[in-house]
Amino acid sequence: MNKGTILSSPKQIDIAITGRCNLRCEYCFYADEMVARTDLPTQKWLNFFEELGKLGVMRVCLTGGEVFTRSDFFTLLDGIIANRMRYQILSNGTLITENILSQLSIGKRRLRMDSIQISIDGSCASIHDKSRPNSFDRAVQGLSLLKKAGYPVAVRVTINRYNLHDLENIARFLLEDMGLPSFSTNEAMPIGSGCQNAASMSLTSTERFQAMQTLDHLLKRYPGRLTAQAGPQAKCKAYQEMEDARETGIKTTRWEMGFLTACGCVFSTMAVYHDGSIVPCHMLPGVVLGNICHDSLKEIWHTHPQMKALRERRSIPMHKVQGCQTCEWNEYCNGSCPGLAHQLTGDFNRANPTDCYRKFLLEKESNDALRS
Amino acid sequence: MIHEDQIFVLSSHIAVESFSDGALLFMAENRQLLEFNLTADRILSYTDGHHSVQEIASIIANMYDIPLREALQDTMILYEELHRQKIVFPENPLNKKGIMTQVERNERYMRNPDVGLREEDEDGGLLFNPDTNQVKVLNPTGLFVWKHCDSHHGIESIILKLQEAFDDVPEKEVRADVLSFLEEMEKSGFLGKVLHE
Ligand code: SF4
Ligand code: SF4
Repeated sequence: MNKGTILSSPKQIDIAITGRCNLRCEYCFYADEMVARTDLPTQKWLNFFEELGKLGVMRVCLTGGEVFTRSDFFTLLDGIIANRMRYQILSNGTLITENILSQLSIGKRRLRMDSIQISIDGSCASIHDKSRPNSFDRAVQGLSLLKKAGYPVAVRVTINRYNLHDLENIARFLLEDMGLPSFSTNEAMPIGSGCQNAASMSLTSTERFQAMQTLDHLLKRYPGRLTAQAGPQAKCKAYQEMEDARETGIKTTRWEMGFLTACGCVFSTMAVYHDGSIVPCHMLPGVVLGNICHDSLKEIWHTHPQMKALRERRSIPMHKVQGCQTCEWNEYCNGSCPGLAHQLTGDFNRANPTDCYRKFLLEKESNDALRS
Repeated sequence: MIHEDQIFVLSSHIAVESFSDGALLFMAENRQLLEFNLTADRILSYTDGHHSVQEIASIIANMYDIPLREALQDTMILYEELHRQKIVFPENPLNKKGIMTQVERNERYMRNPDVGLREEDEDGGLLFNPDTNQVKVLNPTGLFVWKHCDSHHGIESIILKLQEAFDDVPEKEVRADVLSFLEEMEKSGFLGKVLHE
């Protein structure tokens, strides 16, 4: 392959097709962007999908805002299908009705769907609605409709202070009562509106540890049915691997330890905001690389200095990363998500402080000491 | 599974030296020497892309005066093993007897319009069928053939163009490779045959 090992174009694009939403979630990471940017009209998106089709992009992940607030949603979906792509939807589930379902079943819309993910944050309205106001009944209704009709439905639980003690009930509700094969978890982040609500929403290290213990216990009860790419469950696994590597001297082969290697997205994915702004990832709102209305995605993919810098991040050893030089874990750490590092420190060549194992251990120790 | 009507050819990486009591077979790829008895040597000598398993078995039955059923069984067992070791491979049915009919030569293929292509420069490309979620990796020659499946070029013309474009492709194998590529791509729904009016 020329241009080093860089693919000719991204394989997937994450697209926030709208900044509108019918909810106002407490931790919404997109809240600031929703206010600051405006939606693109239908034709601009259709032109963009044509560009993606020509590049051989294989799939898009449609998100928002809430995708179903767009009245032209199915026109956009058909544009994606016509350009030989598959798609995934992330939704709050509250606008999914029988009518939406029957529209989803037209032509190849259903055939091309990889999954539709609904956010559920509690086992009942009183907990779910604390972080996602006035939405539990409608979200569960949407989820049930999709499940009954046999759609590839997925559920995401965002762990926060309100639902930390409800995790067991949530698992029972989703896996036993609703009969879902699995669900995934992550964690509320102090970005977007989560920033203002950080104190009330985000977990402390001790709470995160509690979440890890509960999830571990749930995984024993429901083996393989709780998954995570980020958040306490994923962190717990990574921390355990760091402990093991330090003790045995044998590093995991699951990821590369000792370098800023956490994010592989920049080798296969890019993202677009609802105003057409192109970013490496939705977690990097400060790194705008261009706009789909006037820039070539392929050009940006191959030549933009920020894309190159993000890819080169992998060769930076942890012992050279600011704040990590003297850490005894730096040989076993990978600094975690650059998006969060950038939002929290203004520099993506830094470690993400919310995932720092040293900090986690220190905070946990002092909290435990305070308690006892 | 081997069947009686199949026709095999020797791999081009094989050299056979026959003696009065059998044969020595040299596999160039792994520099291995294999010894064969006289019957196996006879079977190998008829493995020429013309004789079917059934035909060879009846020659062997006559030669050694054994029941056809027994000869057929022995021949099939031997082919099974030779095929497993990549010493022989089945001739494409289109290429049976080494000749294609005029119709077969002009057979034209077209790409499934729903399949997307990612060209990865000198490495070839990747096909993606979004309807089935299937992915197919193409080497540069596969990519060349794919691009010429435009419903205008017949098989023979694709083979000629391929030979012109890639001088390092061994001539003997081009035909068989192109034919089996087209057959496999058609089977997996990436290509369709253009129907004759
Ligand atoms: S988290 Fe999703 S559903 Fe909630 S306000 Fe933000 S965009 Fe809307
Ligand atoms: S300070 Fe934290 S982020 Fe940096 S190497 Fe140590 S554990 Fe990893």
